[in-house]
Amino acid sequence: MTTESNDSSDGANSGAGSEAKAPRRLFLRASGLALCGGSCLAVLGPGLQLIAYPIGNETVTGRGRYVAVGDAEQFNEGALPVKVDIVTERGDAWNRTEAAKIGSAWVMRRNGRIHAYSAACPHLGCSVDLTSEAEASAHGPGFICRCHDSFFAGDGSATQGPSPRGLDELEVREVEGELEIRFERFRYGTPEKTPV
Amino acid sequence: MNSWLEERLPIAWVGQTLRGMRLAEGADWRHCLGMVAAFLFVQQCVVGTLLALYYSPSASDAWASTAYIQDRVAGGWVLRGLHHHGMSALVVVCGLHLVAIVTRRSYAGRREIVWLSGLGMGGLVLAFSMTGYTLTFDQNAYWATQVRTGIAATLPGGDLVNRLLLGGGEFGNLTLTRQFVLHAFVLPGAVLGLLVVHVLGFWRRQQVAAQEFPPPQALAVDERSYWSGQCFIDVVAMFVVTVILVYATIQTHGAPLGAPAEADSNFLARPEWFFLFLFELLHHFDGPTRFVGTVLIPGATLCFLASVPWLGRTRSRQRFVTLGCALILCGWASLTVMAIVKDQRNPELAETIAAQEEAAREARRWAKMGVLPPGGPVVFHNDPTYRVRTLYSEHCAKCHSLDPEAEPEAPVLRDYASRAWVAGLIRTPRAPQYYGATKHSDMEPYPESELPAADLEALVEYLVSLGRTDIRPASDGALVAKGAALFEEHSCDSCHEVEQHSSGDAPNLWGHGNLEWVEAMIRNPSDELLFGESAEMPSFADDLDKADIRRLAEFVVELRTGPPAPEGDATRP
Repeated sequence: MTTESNDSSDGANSGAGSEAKAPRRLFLRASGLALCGGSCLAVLGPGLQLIAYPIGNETVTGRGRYVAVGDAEQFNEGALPVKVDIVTERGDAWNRTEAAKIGSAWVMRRNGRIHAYSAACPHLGCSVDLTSEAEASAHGPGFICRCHDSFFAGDGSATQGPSPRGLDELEVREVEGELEIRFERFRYGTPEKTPV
Repeated sequence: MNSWLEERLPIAWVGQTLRGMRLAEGADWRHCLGMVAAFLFVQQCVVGTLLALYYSPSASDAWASTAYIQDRVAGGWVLRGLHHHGMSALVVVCGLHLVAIVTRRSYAGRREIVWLSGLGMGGLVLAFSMTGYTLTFDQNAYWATQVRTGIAATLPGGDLVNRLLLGGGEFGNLTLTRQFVLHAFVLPGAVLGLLVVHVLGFWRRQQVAAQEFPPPQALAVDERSYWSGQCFIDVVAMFVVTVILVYATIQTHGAPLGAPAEADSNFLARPEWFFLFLFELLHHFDGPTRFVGTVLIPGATLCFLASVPWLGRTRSRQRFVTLGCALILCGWASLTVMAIVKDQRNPELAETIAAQEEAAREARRWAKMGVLPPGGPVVFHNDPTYRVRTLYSEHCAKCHSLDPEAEPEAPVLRDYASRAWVAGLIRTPRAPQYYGATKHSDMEPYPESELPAADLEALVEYLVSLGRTDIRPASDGALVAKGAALFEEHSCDSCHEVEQHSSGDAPNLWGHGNLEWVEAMIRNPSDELLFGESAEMPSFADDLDKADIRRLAEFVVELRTGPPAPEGDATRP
């Protein structure tokens, strides 16, 4: 057999027969694969954590807290619903905007209580409007979503069209005369109202 | 399955070619460097891609998104650390690879293309470092870029190159987008291209060598196969490098990040360690000899290195090549050491750098709350004391300046209503630091002759006992009683009421200096409990809301009591 002089190196094979090499080769292959795996893990471990970060963490914040929208007294009994902008501090990844509009709500007072409905249509999220005179006479007064023609009655319940449920009611409270609305988003296209 | 693929793709051919990979001289540790460099390059690409899931190359977002990765995203700091230290490792491994090639004269034997493509990749690796350094848009990035564009401007065509690289006349949005495109798309593509040429180049030489030196040399086929020995060596080397990188990452908790870039500031920037030699070199060639350091020496070095395969045609000339390269290496090393030692011997530098690092820590602390849209230095606005300092300078500082050098136009508020302040007021109410600059001149001074020191002490103690919340009067009741007696004796009570809610000709002294007293003062100094209609200070009830007045009052009180103990966590609602 050749006596090729290799410089000392752990991996080099001696000039022995192939039968004697088999366990050594197996060892080299197994440990080589293990080391490869280790090298990849150093990157893949934190890499997968990084990729999956938005799954366990809210990267866009601002929803879910009570936001002051104005004097509770301005909403009169039986008056037309008023569209109110929900403006609050919003976090978006590394950003923080102090007064960002995170959504809007239709607010009205019925039977003494104030009701607020999310202006996001439960069908696919387009903005819901009040019906015009023509639309009201054709489909009844209330709300209309002009993206796909979903109609809602004055109390928010769905009357016609593709929307699977009525307008999503939002939690409200009054603090020192100020109306506060807790703006949330709900899953689109389902008959049940589930917060996301 | 195999035959289905085999009919559509040249799998067997690929397999054969791979299995046939051979080295001219069997497995050796020194041969691993090229593969390790390639491994590091691939790792940098993968890690870079992962980082790009969160990084945003815009002037308002670059720093904030980097801080986000470093301090908020899970695993972010690890990847940043691997990327940062990986860069250093790549430079070291490429350098060692070059040294190995030169010492073994592997540039000879018609391997000019291999050599040149390798050199090109080395240059691109440095370009990676320069482009990547700017992307964080922190102070280091900004000022290092200023230095580099300054140097480039002195070279012919430099202004044009600067404009192209900066995307304009200054470091801004377009700089970041361009540097990002270079760093993430153009340079990796270029390296890949050169790598292919490099590999094809030495593969061809292996082919030719196998043809020119038939069987006898190529006998021990197995020993020469890449897979029988060298592969394992390479894998071990890659693993060792990975371990080193992970260790370094953990030690430094990721990669450094300075405070956000600020155009008008004083900042001492330092380049990456492997560029320190250039930094040091240029110190020795400033002014008219500048071009020696910027053009001559680098240019000569580059020309020498590029011509190595042609220079090293004969044995004796190969020794000359080795000597030249050794000289370059020594030059690089000594300049680097000189730069490091010079910095270490400079105590002022250490202070400046410590201050800069403190600013960086502050910035990153406030960034955890989220950075306002303008980005960068705006992060400091998250600091609540920032707001009050701005309010103070807008509304109060004109008269109540905090600058000890300034001419007082109203009572100096430093240490306001402390024992010392009160004592000083009683002694010299018409001094400029009290009411001397105002029109309030009714109060007479009480010098030593009228009010001996012991009496003054008692009087002050009595005043301090009048409902003060942050100062406790002496437990010696006798002293306070003596002070009360003196208060009447000297007719202080003819102007100054001490009962709560009683108005007189001068400010009511109950709780003087307390938060509520100061708040009331800011709200309306013309209140009858304070200075009444003759007040010179304007009222701020209409200009400032309750919260801001309270903040300012707290600020004034803190001028006496000092700031409150620091909170443990940076996050605030």
